[in-house]
Amino acid sequence: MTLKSPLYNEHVALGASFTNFSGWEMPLHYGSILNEHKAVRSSVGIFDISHMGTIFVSGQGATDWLEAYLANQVSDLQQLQSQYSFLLNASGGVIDDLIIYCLAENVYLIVPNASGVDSVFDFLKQRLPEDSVKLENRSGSMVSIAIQGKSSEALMHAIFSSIKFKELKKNQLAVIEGFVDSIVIARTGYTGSDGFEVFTDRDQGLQLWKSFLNSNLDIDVYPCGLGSRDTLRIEAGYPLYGNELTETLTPIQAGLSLFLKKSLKESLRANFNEDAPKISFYKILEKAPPPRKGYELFYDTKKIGVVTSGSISPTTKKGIGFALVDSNVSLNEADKYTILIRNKKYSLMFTKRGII
Amino acid sequence: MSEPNSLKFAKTHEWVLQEDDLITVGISNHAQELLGDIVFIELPELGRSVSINEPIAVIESVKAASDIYAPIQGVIEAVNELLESEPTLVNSSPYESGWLFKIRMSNSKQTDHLVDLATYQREYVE
Repeated sequence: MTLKSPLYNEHVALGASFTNFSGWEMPLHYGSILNEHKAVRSSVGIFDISHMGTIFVSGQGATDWLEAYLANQVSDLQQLQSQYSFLLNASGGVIDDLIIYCLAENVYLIVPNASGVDSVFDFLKQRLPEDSVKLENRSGSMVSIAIQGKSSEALMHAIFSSIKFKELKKNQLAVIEGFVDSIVIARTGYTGSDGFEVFTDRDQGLQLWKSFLNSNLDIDVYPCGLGSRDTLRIEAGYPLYGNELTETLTPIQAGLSLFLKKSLKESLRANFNEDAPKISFYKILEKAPPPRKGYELFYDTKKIGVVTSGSISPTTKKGIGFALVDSNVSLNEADKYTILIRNKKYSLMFTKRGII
Repeated sequence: MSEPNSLKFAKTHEWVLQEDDLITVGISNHAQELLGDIVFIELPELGRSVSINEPIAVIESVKAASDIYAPIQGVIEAVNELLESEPTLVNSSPYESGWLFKIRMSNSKQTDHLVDLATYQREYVE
């Protein structure tokens, strides 16, 4: 069965080209991935991300219960803040990466990937204590919209005039009461540009989508699809589940130990094989075809890894992305690393993540 | 965009403009729409001998790489060097400034397998 966003008809009316993403029929683009990418970097783009999960956890003891299962330190998360985290399997591999939002004391919204909703919900449900903690899966019945780009604050201000966006810092959130259901507004995103994510019920979500596109502001607001969402996150150096994060890689191998609580980091490190391959960010140094998942990387003639994500950066026009590589590659060394594309090798180097 | 009537088409979506034994090759408007934004084009080397249906160029959009086939046999006489810095010309002008390469035909009677615009649209454009 193909799942459709509550905003599906809006996308059809806007002329979207669709793609199947984790069982969802979602917009790939509305005419041009490159133009949508540029819109976010120079103005503002809105993305329907209703395919992402929305799981609510609430009740006395919710914080302690989540602390037992999520990889980041839930007790560090203050009210009206969000935190990047993981659900890990017994060997430290990633079941899913997620954002957890603390809406109020002992009230949380967990946003997993579309592909991870069932595994995250089932994992938590099987471990639900009998007492007061309540777990509710509203995935698929809510509208989630990402408003991303340089002018996102101005657009948000035009729609939600009561919120002081200047004071809403990165990863903070506001909850406002709507007509039917509350609206969760967070200064979060997956593009590397300033931006917000909004979660609400279907009816208000549909109205909001239309309001964003018809804001009467002197700003161009572009609907953007999953194509530019991918090129934007690669430029920002953000991982994608299924590519850089899998059940067989630990967050340490993925280079994301920053998001692990101390005790977990120590136990994973204690069992960590120093020779295990790790995720690194590369830049191709010459004009080359776009790097794609599965392409092989070399040091001289020795194969050292394989591309997990790649794109020609719309900003720099050079190939960039992530690869799973031998643990001993060195950063910023331009001499001997190459990528093999159709029988030709192009030089590259490994760098810190992201180019923006 | 109107598809020019003067061209012939291959079922793999290349168009062919014939002037004596020199043909110019590009991809149809339908094909560029299917591909989306083109970010890289690999063109054949000048002087290369090519045979019918041999993959001789690659067009890469943001999402995928697609082979371009030689619609006829001959020798590559010219390639569109503008595409190296501006591959999106194939999107914006598939029939004019977005042409790909020119082939000098070894036998000018070998175009029978190509079809006219009406047939191309009926048979190969969904």
